[in-house]
Amino acid sequence: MRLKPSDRLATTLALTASLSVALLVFAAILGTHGYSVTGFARVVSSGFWPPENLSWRLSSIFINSLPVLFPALGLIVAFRMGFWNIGAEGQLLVGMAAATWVGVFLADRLPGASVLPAMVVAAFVAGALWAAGPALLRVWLGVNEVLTTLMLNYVAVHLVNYLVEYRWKDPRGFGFIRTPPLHESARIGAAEGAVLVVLAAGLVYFMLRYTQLGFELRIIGSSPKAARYAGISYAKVTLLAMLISGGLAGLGGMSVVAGLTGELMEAQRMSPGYGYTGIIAAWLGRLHPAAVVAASLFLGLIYERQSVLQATMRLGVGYTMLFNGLLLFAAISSTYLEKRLREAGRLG
Amino acid sequence: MADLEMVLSNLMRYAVDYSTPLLLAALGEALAERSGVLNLGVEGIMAVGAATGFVVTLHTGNPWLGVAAAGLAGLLLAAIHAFFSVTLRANQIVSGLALAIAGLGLSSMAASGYLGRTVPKLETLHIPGNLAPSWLNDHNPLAYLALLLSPLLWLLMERTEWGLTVRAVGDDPSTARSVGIEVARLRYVCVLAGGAAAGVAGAYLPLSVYGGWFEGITAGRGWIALGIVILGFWNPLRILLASYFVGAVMSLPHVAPALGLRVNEYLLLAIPYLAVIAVLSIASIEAAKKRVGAPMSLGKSEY
Repeated sequence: MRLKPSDRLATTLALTASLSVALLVFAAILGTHGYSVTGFARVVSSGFWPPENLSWRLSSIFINSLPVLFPALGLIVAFRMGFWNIGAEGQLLVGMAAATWVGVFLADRLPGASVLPAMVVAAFVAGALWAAGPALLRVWLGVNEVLTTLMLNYVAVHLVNYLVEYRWKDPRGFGFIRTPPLHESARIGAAEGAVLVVLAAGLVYFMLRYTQLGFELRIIGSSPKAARYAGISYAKVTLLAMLISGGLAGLGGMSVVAGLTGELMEAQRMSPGYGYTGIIAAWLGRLHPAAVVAASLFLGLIYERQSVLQATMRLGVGYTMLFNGLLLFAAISSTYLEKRLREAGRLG
Repeated sequence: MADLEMVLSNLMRYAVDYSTPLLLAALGEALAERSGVLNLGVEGIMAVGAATGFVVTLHTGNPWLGVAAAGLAGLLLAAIHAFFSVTLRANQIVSGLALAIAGLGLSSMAASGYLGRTVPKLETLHIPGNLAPSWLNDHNPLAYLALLLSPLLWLLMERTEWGLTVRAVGDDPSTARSVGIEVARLRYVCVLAGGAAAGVAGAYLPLSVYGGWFEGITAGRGWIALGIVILGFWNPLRILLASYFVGAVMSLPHVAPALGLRVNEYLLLAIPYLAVIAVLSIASIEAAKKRVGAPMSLGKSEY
């Protein structure tokens, strides 16, 4: 019997097979490091039942996925045009710092209803500006964006640590390195998060599909040469795309302080690499907004159980990075497998 | 002015120490890139090299075994990247990123159980007589290995037929294949060798600089090494100079107090990354003027 997969079937088969292999490899590595694989599975899958737990658990997963989801949505925009923004982590961190500044030091001077919008704007602008540097260097001088965006991630780490320790440290914080807590009006829950996600995903979807910018961006992505002949300005599109990409990553940073921690601490304690995980979500979702949202929720599931896994199995953050890296390998294997399956289908 | 002289000599000594892992990793990466394969996984490979070197030395008490194991680990990780980018012809950027992320995670899982333990460092090598100025003397053997490797790799790339073949594969793989060169095999060799070098570069950190391991020990050095390859225009001798320059910038926190510089510690920590961005920008201008560039098929898996 010959396999004659339709395109959709090919995609499903390829993704399922690749993800299964990635999970098996992950389980094997966990096992060889002396961790219980079944224990891990039990922790991750627990808490969905009985039904009264379910809605709490789902909203908790949702909130935990936001720091990945926003950067991932932004990365779609950059990656679609073939601009390798690896700097979502840094853009997220500066967005986080800007949101903290509004939420801690400005909130009591602002009318309550304007605090969250002000945080959104501050986080977006900070992230966008952080991303603009590499975009300009690329456009003006042709400097490799992979490296400039990456270097700025490390600069952002030191910037956040500097702000927390030397500028914004809570004088009543018992010597802990952290800012005073965010104002009550500066916190977000699942509902506010959902509004922001719909807005951000809608923006990306609409922009890519229905605007001149989206059209030009996709042309550059598929053929830079054709774009040049068509008279599309690479400089303009790059800059705009990176402003959006960095801005959305900045929103991810806001969702960390406003949705999860409620205060700013050292960078290492604020982000286990959300910006890098955003790359994985973007790729797993094959750069389609809806699929990327789904992929981010899946990754949020792991982050949500982080503290439990840490407490019950003494698993540090390393395993999430390993898991993420394996998922990214799965994403590219699935592309390869799918191509092969389609060829096989055509031959059959 | 004896003071200033001493500070400078100190700076130059630290610069050698800090440049060594950058140089080793960058030379390895340059070899891989010359064959046309971009390996963005260097940071992950270095992290695993650091963890492996640390753990193996902890168990055996012999840092050289740690170095060897780290090289082997680097080679194996690079094989994954080679498989994806050469055999499956997958997107090299994504495969490299996956390796970087997975490697960072793996290293943390492997070594965090031994956090706080110390390991014996590699013993320094004394060059007798007046052959070496004092700032260049009494470094560990890996520093000298890296210094020697640079001209050797230059000779290999520029003066041997093998080097010419590698460059041909990196510039125009389909033509190379049509004249009977085994492109895939050659790329594997270059990527694997580059991975081994990155692994050893990682092991240098616990076994020479820190004498122990901590989370984030590589601190972006793998990414900096990738930048150094570009700064060096893929030329091993220029890469030596670029590594040394970045190494000197990374040494600033050690000499800043002696120079009377009162700068915030976090600014000092951020300076190397900003410096890399600055010199990359300058190098881009220079590259455009001199019309030098990356190997022509770099990063392209299809040919």
